[in-house]
Amino acid sequence: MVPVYQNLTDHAEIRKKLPLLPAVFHIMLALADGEKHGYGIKREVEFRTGGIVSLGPGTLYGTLQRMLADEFIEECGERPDAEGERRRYYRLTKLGRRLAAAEAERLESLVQVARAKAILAKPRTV
Amino acid sequence: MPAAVEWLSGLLGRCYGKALLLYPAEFRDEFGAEMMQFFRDDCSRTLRSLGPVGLLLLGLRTCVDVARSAPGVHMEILRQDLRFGWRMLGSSAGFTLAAIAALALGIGANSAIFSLVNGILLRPLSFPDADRLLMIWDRNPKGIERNSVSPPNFVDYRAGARSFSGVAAFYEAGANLLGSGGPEHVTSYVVSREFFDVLGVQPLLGAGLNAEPSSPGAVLGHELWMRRFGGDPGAIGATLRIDGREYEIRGVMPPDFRFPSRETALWTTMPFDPAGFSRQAHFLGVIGRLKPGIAFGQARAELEVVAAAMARANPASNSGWGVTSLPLREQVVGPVRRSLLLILGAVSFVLLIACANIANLLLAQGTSREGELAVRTALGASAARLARQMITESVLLALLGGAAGLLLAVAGVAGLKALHPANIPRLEEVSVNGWVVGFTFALSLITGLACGLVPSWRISQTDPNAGLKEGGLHRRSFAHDRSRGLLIIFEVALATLLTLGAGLLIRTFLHLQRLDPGFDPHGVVTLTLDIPRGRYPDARQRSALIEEAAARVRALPGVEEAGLISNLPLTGGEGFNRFGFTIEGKEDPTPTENHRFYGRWITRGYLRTMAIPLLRGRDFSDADRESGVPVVVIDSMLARRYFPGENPVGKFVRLSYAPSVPREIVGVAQEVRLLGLDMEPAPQIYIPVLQEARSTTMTLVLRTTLPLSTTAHSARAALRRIDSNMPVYNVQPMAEVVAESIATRRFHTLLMGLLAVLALVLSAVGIYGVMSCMVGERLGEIGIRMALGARQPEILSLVVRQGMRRALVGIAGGLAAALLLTRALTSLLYGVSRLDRWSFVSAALTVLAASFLACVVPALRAAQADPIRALRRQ
Repeated sequence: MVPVYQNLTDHAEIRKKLPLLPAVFHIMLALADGEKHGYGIKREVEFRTGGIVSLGPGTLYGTLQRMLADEFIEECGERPDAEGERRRYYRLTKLGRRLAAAEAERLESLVQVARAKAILAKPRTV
Repeated sequence: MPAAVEWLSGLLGRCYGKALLLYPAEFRDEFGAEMMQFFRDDCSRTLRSLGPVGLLLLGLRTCVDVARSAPGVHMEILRQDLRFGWRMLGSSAGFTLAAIAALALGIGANSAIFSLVNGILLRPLSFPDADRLLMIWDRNPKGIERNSVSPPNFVDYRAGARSFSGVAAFYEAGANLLGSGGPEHVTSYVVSREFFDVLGVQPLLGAGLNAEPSSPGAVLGHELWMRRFGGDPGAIGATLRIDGREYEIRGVMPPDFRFPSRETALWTTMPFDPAGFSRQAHFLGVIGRLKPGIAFGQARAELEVVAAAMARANPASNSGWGVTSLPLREQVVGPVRRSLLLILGAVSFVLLIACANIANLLLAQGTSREGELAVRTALGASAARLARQMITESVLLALLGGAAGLLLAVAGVAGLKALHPANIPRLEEVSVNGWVVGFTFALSLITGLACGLVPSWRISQTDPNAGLKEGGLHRRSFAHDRSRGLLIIFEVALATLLTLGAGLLIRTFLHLQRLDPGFDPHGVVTLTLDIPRGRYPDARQRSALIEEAAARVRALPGVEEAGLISNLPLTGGEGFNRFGFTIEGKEDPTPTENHRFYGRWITRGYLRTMAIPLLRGRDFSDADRESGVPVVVIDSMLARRYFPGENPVGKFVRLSYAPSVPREIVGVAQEVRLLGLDMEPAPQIYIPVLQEARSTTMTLVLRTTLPLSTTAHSARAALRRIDSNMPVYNVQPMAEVVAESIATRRFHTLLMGLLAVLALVLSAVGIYGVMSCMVGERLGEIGIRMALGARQPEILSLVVRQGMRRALVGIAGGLAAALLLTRALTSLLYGVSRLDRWSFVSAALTVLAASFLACVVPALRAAQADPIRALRRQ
């Protein structure tokens, strides 16, 4: 059996922070393809999870505050959005990106275990 | 949008605005506007897709979101503060250690004293529903509030008091046990049948004393059962010989049951019918248990009625007498409550001094952190955020100090218990338990908050820009730092108060030790012997035994003189053997103002052994025996009071317990302190024991030229040769008896002394810390002064003056406060005025000396500073 953490990055600092809270990982994924403002993050998460995960303002900004303090994300200025409203934008830091990758790898190796044990079907080749 | 929907979304928005108040202010400042915007976006999107119902659902969902996220945000900020605080504490290890040490001393001392207060005063006694137990006393017309109860009075209280589910009586009677292991004297109590039921404690084994009242029965204490019966359950039903009489063992009590006294080993049934006893013989302790739901006041009123009825029915014995009732707990701990609370007050001063130290340290650190704080302010941290950071740090410090203090308290409590002052009740119940831990935690939190307030207030007053300017830290003059100065004044004042309090107690203690008790205890050893009444039933046999004991012991090598007495001075027993008397040829006193004296039965040689001077007449001789004329020796106290200006020798008195016998006064002895060193001498009459062997417990006193232990050993052997079944115990030098009589005072004095030393050390360290810090900060100024020609002595005196000025103000403040506060000490003082000049002067000088030392070390450092280097630092 493949130990879950074996393939992950060796960086102990990174490993210590895993697993990430679901809200943190969702926000990281939302920011992975570019900076977004708070409501934009919420929309993206909602869209990608088919409405199953819906972040309330308290949860979202509470998490953002902690991620800012831990330097997983950073602010990248305030500017009007498409509708002309001024918004603060956030983006992933390098650390945040590495963490998101590490978390994804961790989840992937879990999925592999699930497959090996036939809990999950093998991926169909396209 | 219809008006109703518009109104609804407006309302939701306003509600959310209010809900945001649940988040920390800094968080609101940072994200509040965005969150409002987020919420509004959400509202309009939901309205578009789901309509007004969706809007309501969104409102509900958002409520849940607020409730779930707000505590987390608070915790997150606390976590950040703690993490930062921890880093700050770690980065200045010297400061942190000093602060934790001061706090540990302050909090630890408080926790230790609180353990005492909790174990002794606060926790209920270890009986079921102990708060319903009351002590009942006869009230003597001469003002003795708690007079022992006479047996018929007890019977009347028991029958008449309907508020009680039970009333029981007891009195102390030493028991002499025979059998394997040699003769042994144990403390035993004669108790009425209801005794264990009233206390609510049932025997571990056996039925107790309530079952068969007809024959004599005994209940063993657990320790005695283990010692003499090896814990054998077969002891129940066996026969125990006590003083020659046979008692059936009817029970064994649980291990921790030791009532009425800690030493109690045995309880026996009453050998008489209390109803048939004299009403004038007061020797019972009486305890009652209130019925559930009955108030204390109600029971007290009822007892008053019973007592009044007794006085009406028995005017000869009870007229003028009343009743006193008080909770058992009050009875047990009442005598030490005041002194313990006083010490608790004193120890809180120590904590205040420690707090002042910490506040000072934080202020000093705050000064050196001004730069850092200014940077954080410039980066957008609010004053509230910085103040919160300071308070978090000081609470963190205080919690660490509290944890260390708890360890100190555990050690301190063990130390206090090891001192084992015999007269502190319930000391064995004292421990560092959950309550003490809770107290320590709460105290640490409060301390942390209090210490953090001063520096955080200072931050709010500081101009952030000043901290950013180059050299801004060093710009202030010596006189500027007023808050630090005030804290020094405050702690010096408290230390002065405590030193003075300890000084007054020490003076009292020294006074008592120097006090002439009326006898000379040095070179005297004492042994108590119990004459087994069973084998010496006749008074003549007993006096023969006493005479032989005295003669044998006098013949021992090294023994200069020896004698026996029924009740050794200073061994307690106030109220024991106290009688009335009349003087032949003088008018009899009325019942309420009758003459009272303490009766002491002695042999010849007692007065000489104790070096009690005979002022008039003669001592007893071997001729003063049953066949001779009844004689007594009175003491100078009684002579002064009842024979003013006369020579009492040759006069006759009659004693109330045997009023038919006239007795001739043959001598007057110097008065002695018999009840306690701190109690004025009371009138005494000495009666020759050979004439009247009333007491079966006698104490032998020997004056010897040999080491006391050698003589005690040979005396014991000599007594054993007379009767190997006679218990001999309490072998003790007389000087030790004297010392034990003030053991409680020694305990209090020691505690206060320790607290004063702690206070002095803490405040000296505080002064030292602040002065060193000031010197460090002002090295530049000192450099300039030196460069301008100031010489070392001038610098030295400049720094010392700065510190001493505050110390002097503090000392003056402390002494002024003492003028008022020493009033609380009055009850603990004896022979020393609470405004005792010497104590005031020596307290002031002690604190002055400590402060001077604390100032002079940093001053020397300043004076030795190299001006060039000091200036360069500037």
